[in-house]
Amino acid sequence: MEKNAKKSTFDDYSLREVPKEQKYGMYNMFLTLSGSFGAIAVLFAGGVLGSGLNFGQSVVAVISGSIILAVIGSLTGVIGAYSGVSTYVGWRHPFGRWGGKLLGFALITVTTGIGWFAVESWFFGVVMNEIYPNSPFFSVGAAALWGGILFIISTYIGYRALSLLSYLILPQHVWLVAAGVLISVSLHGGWNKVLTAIPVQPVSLLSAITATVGLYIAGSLIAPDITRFARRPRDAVASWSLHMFVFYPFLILGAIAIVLLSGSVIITEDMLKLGMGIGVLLIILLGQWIINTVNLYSGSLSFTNFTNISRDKSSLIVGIIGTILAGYWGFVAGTSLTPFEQFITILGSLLPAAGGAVFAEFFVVSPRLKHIKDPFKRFSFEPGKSYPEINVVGILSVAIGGTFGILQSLGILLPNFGIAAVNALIISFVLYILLIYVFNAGRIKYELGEYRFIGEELK
Amino acid sequence: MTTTLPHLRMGLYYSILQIILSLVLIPTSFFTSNAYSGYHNLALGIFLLITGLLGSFFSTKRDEHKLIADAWLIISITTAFLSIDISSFFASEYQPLGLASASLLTLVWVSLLYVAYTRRVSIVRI
Repeated sequence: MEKNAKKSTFDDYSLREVPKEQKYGMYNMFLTLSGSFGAIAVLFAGGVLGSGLNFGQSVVAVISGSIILAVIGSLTGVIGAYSGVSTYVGWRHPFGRWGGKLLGFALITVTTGIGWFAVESWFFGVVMNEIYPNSPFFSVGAAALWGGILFIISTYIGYRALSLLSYLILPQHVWLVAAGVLISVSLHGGWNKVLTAIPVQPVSLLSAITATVGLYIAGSLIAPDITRFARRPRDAVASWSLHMFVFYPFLILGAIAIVLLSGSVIITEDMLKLGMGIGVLLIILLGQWIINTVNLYSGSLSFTNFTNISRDKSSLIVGIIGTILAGYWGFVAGTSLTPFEQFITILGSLLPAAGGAVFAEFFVVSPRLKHIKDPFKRFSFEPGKSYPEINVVGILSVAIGGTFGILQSLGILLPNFGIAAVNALIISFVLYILLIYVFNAGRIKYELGEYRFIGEELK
Repeated sequence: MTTTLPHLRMGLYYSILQIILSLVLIPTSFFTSNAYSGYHNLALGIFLLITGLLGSFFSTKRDEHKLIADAWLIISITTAFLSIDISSFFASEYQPLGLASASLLTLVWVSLLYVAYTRRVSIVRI
């Protein structure tokens, strides 16, 4: 018992429900969700959108994307708040214990925890080197290494560090971006020029909406890692929606306005030109710090779900692998990241399909077929009860939905038919329900193996 | 019997100090020769005035968490102000006043968070 209590200091209830007294209010939820998933990534994405659309089209693309993401994020967020468990522990219900472990490891530990963590740490080194080109401490490799260590330390502490960083970073970002936009607009000829500016490389509206959704859909689907700490389910929905309809459009449209006026897609470079020196450094340093803390946090939660090692130790193992990778790229000149980025992007494309199966289990199968009406109990684990090791229906739905999503995003299958990630999610959602009906009607067993939950922590 | 917790009382003192500084800062916005600097000071002045009033209200309501939330907001915004106000773009005759006010406020609210932390109030649980 004492051992378990000790483990919880930095373990963040990785393999159990978050107790009620450890949950947070809506203000914390809003700041942590917005700080974690927003910040710098949105600015850079706005930069890319601004080079392809005019301002009016951008508003349509961003609002459409925000509506889709608000719905998806609210649904996953509410699952996290009801269940109190991380995304990957929750996955044990639609995919079985080993299904959830393996999917969590493949889709999050490998992609987000190691892959994107390493890419972002390397990128941190690149940006630091651009700002201070003559110092060995700020060479790409060295900065990637010390940056990686910095990110590991905050991830080791866990949710409390994420909250702390969000309190400091989010309002600061809003202020700095607002100032950057106003300065840029004033210097380049006013709002009329923003509204009439022509994009450098025009893209279709559908591609822009796809990009807007694609940027955030992974964050939307792993929102339970954060929302499991929400005091009430409605706090999770309200804070995510507020984030999607206020904060996200503000940051992305601000970045688009700057790019349309200046013509350069790297938003922080434009802000540097405007004389926002230390402000830009703060945006990059703190923005990348929090985004990589979230990458590693989710990676460590999924690794813990896979191996049963405590979450703090998982963050060290996964973080050190990612940092070594980033340092290697930094020190070995000429290394191309493109093949690696393509690999983790394709693997990450399976994530929306996993989300579809989770929605189907929580919102349809569990209340309608298993008759678990109380949403607090749908993804909970009761001591003494047995759960499946593998859920064949869940795995099949992800495989088929995910394959469709990958083929569509590569342009091989129905390239102009809606948004690939959303299609994958819907296909997996429908398939999961259909297959359960078919397997039940044919009296075919789809839940294989059995493990008994004896209480305390899951194994 | 109700007793005022030390950090709540400190919160009240800090809020009053903040309101005074904001009332000094706001008029400078109208006299500066640099319009951008004027807008920047005006925005900070109004923000400090509103959060100062909120802070003094919460410090009388025994609502530690709202006061802590206020403290984080002020530290975050004033450090953002400090980081870009030093650029030549915002240069004006009142720049030293803005920078001094923002620095002072950041420091006093950091000390409030420290006192709250030593009193075992969670400064992240808001």
